[in-house]
Amino acid sequence: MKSVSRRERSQIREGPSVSETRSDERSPLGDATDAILAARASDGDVRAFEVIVRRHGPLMRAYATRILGSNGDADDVVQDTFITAWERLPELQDPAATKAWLMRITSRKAIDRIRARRSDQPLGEWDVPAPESESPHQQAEAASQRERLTRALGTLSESQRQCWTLREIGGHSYAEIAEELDLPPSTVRGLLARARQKLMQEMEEWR
Amino acid sequence: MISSPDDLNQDLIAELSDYLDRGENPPDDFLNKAPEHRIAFDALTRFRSMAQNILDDDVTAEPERDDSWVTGILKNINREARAGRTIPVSHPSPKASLSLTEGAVRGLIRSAGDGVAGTFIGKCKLDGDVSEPGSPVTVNVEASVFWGERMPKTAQRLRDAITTTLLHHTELNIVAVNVTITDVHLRRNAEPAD
Repeated sequence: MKSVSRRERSQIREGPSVSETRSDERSPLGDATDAILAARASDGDVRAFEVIVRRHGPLMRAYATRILGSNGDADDVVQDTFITAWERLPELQDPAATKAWLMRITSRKAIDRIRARRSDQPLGEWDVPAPESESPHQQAEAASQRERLTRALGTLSESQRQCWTLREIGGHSYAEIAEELDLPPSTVRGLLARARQKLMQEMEEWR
Repeated sequence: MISSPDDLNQDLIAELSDYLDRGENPPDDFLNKAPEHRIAFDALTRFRSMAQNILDDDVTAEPERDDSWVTGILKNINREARAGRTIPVSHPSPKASLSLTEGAVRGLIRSAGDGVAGTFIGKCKLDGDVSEPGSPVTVNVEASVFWGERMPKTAQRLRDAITTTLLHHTELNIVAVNVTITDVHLRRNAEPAD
């Protein structure tokens, strides 16, 4: 090439490490710790980010499904979660805590979605009972503990289930749940107690 | 108002939950006061441990999915966000203006490091005025080494690989390459079965 015109001002964007070929779980980076992957992704390494997505995506989808109560919007929540994660990675203080950090983003995105569904009502007032078909009386004996718990959770109202999920699965404090759901902490405490009581009854561990 | 048995249970559960949520055990006196206190506390503890496993169980129960969810995410992230500073590259023609992004240089450093067996580069920083040709630049990288590797030797190999790559592909005046081993990794994935 003789000369390069000013219009052809070129920028070499990413190094040779990023190609269009997709790596899979067998990517050599698959052995790297979350801390290393998060640090790399924060520096712009898309391949490292892809390994994070593959490693934690299924768990985030399961968590979103538990909060939403169905997997209808779970894929959208997971996508929003990771797009936000990519943007905020440079702010992540402790890259080793990537999973807990992703779970916090996931719960926030899931709650945003629920809120958008019923933008005209605060969450706490939308305490609809579960549909009758979910009642455990109509269910045959559940095969596994997980199925029994899932069915019992199906009998909770939406806000009871959300409080329980954020507390027991997400490990949030009452104050955090109150903030996320925009409810007074005393209400959260009451919803949790009610949720736990109902779970006990449904699981027939009580009385 | 007379509270129903349900309300009583709920108060009991709220009280027991408070202990559980503070990570404490209720006093024995309280648990022994009535059999339902102990039954309720045991059930609450059991639910908690079930809850902790439920997501992993959900993931296991999930059928295998195609890859579109991953590609969907990768397509939507803003890859330009981490380009960093602009590093000028000289060219014989005065009309040409070539440059390299800092992100591209970090990519070069990472791939140099990944070429050293048993290591991964993590965070990577270029300290110095990279936009001014010839000004001294120090490279600071964090790295992870495979469990059992001899760290000083591995760190030296990483330093050499990074120095060589930067010498080949950039005009940066590298005065030092500092490698800090911050992590040790094990094999997570089974060897491919072929």
